[in-house]
Amino acid sequence: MNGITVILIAGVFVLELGIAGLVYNRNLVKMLLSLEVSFNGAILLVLYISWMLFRPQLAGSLVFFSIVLAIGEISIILSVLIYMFKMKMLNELDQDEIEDDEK
Amino acid sequence: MSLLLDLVFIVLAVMLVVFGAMTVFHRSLVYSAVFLAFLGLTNAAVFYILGFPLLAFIQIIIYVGSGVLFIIIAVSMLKEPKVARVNAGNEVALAVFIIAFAVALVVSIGIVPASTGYVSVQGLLQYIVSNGEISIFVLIAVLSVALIASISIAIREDQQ
Repeated sequence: MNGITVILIAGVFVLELGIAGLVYNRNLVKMLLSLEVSFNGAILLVLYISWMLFRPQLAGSLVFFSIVLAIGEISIILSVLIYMFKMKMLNELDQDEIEDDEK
Repeated sequence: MSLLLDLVFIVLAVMLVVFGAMTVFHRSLVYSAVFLAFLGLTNAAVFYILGFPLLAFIQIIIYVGSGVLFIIIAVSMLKEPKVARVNAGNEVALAVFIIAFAVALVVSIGIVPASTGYVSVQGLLQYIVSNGEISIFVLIAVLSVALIASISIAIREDQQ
């Protein structure tokens, strides 16, 4: 096993850590951070696979667009969270609390 | 591939996993966001070594420099919430699933990589401009809408 293979394994683990964080955490900001962790693992895997398959430019452009779109996603989600927190729609940013309020 | 490069890859891989785990499982939101910034920086280093210098710069300047710092500042403004979690009964099953899925994915992709490729900044920019005009316009439109929406949401006062 050489060094670059370890990067592949680390990318898979980072992707799965993000997915596990989405399942494990019940806090909205923590869920957003877990989503970003899985995003980092996913773009690492895309670049690694393209590096293996000799298609680096296509994957590079895809990752370029996905990084920029992730910033838009972060800004929208955090704005909504700040608004809900400011208007006291949320007290703890807790998913369970939101589900209880909806019932 | 030289022994030094192998060593660098192993250190970067360990840093990726550690920073990812700290981001997901740390109790403080601010520290989690800081570890996410470190994860982005480590990812940028891997991109650079794999031969994608433009993506490494974009990852540092746009993702870490604006996105993650925005998360840190926004979370710092909020009252630090109590971190609630799912019941810990099925943590072992989740860990087993993660390891099994990782092994299956690594085996399915194949553990022997091909030779390295290098994509220059100019080459990648030329490829994006020549093949993705529509994507660039859509991206500009989406980002403009996101910017306007986030500003209008953030400055909105209570209507009641």
